[in-house]
Amino acid sequence: MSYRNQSEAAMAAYLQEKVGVPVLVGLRDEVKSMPCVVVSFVSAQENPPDSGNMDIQMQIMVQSQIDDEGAPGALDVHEATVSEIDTALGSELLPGINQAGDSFHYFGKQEQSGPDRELQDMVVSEMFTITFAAALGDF
Amino acid sequence: MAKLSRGTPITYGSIDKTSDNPTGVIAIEIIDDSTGSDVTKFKGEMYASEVKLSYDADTNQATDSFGEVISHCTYNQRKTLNLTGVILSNNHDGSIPVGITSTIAKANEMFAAPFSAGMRLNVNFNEWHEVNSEPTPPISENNLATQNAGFGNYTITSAEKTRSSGNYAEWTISAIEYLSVDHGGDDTTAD
Repeated sequence: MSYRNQSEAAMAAYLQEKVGVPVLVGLRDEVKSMPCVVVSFVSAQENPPDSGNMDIQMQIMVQSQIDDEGAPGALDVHEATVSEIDTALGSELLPGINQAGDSFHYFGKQEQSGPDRELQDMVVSEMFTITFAAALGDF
Repeated sequence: MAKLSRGTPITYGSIDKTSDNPTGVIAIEIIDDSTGSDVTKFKGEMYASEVKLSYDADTNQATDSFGEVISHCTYNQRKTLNLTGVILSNNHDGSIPVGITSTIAKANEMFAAPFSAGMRLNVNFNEWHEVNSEPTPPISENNLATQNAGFGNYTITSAEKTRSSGNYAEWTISAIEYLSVDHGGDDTTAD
């Protein structure tokens, strides 16, 4: 498993325990139904050089359809989900992403921004961007 | 310019990724000999982001009645080693603090190993004999190359351990070795 797969899987599994909507990884072979959370690995940079540890940047996006084709009460669910993600990405809780036996270790957060809101075709997206140090190993 | 445009051998990076040390990790050992016998306080490994060696000395000048320097004397010749890097967990049976595990807890224990200025510092750095330990250097989980061709015989003068928010924790160690004024050999073994 690559850094991309490992970190997306770890983040999706962690967030799925925190929110009441489906959590999907960025590239998938299943149809997306909103509201949902999409977890995407953006990039990684090795730090320290040659150590194998990475500074990983990920995007976590909450997507909801808020027109008459969307689920009833979609906006309320959306707001609640954004709040739950905000809490889950907090420095106190995020170390809970480390699960025994999953070959992924989160060391700590470096940067976080968002949620940045975007509304397009009555689909509202709110994106968190987070950068953290991690390694592929079960420590 | 033909030589340079095609590339030319140049020393690169803090550690060579050669057959001596493919992982780029240096093993270091800190020994307390204040009681008359050698007590190892730390035997582990560092991923060195910077290894810096400097030579310096004290000087004195004699001047004549015109204020012109007529004699220049250099003494207290010494070399100073500065190591900066992250400390690894060292899953190795020779590790001190002891423990054959690759865990964050072990890494924390290695990072927090207590030592003092004045203790000896042995470094495994076979590619750089000025730094490599003159007594047999230590080995570690990721640096198992044993060799004994070094000149380094250092005493720690200062050390700094840093844990900062959003970064890996680091050690910075400064150590010194005084040199003989007799420059006849490759180096001095004077302590």
